[in-house]
Amino acid sequence: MGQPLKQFFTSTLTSPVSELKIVNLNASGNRSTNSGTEGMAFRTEVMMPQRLTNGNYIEEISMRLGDNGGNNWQTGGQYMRRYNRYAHTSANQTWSTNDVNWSGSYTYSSATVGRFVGAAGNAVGDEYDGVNSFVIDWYAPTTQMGPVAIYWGGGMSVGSATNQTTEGEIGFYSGSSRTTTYCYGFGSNGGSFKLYPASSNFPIGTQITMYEFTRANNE
Amino acid sequence: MAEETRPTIFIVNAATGEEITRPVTDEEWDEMKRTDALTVETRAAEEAIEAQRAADKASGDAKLKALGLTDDEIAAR
Repeated sequence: MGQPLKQFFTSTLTSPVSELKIVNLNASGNRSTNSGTEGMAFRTEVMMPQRLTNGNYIEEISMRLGDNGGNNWQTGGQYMRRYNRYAHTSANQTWSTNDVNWSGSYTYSSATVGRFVGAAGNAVGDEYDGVNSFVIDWYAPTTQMGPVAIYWGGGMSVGSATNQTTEGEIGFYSGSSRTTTYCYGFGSNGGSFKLYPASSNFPIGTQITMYEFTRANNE
Repeated sequence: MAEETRPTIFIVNAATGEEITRPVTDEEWDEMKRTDALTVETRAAEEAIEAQRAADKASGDAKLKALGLTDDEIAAR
């Protein structure tokens, strides 16, 4: 990852909630362009002061993508849902990278338009460290990119930089298929995403923050 | 699930900073229940695969040991 450019927002929960929705990304002043000369990346941090409220050690958070208003969500197709789990029983354990719902390749190459970093997120601590949190990164190179096919609702996905629908989305997009378009950022149709911890709640004090980063090509 | 346990949802508007906390709609609640059920089902399947993998490894290690490999040699594979 490169340097942080700006913080989109940060919010802290004052009561436990079952789901976090981040909506209206298109109008948030973020870049939305059909061309570009520098890479970009997004980081979402979810910092929980304790574990999820289900009281179990095995926990799961899924992430799904939707339209700009947060009213319609992908229910099928590629890359629509990711989750990460862990089974913490002692201090300083990391999130599992084995139990991750993962669709598609995420190997970077010059023909790859983006990838999701860290297998659905990287833990930055656990409840024994006083924070039970994870970081979700996704990023896209810019140069060496060919025309990218954009299909609705996708984000954080990868695919060859050719005219293939349902592949090659970067960021949050929604709406009808827009083929052979260079896109970075949140796209003209914006987008949203939501985080849902299975059978549990995010605890009071959970803080969610989102940043934009720069990044060098091929980084 | 009783109505009083209806989950709440937190919505952040990234453009305006507006924050809303509200009970989930019937549709959202149904989706959460479906997700929870899918989670249980998926987790059970993955745990079964992992258990089989562990059993296969133990069986393989035992066979290698029977061939004369040391624990270090088995671990170094």
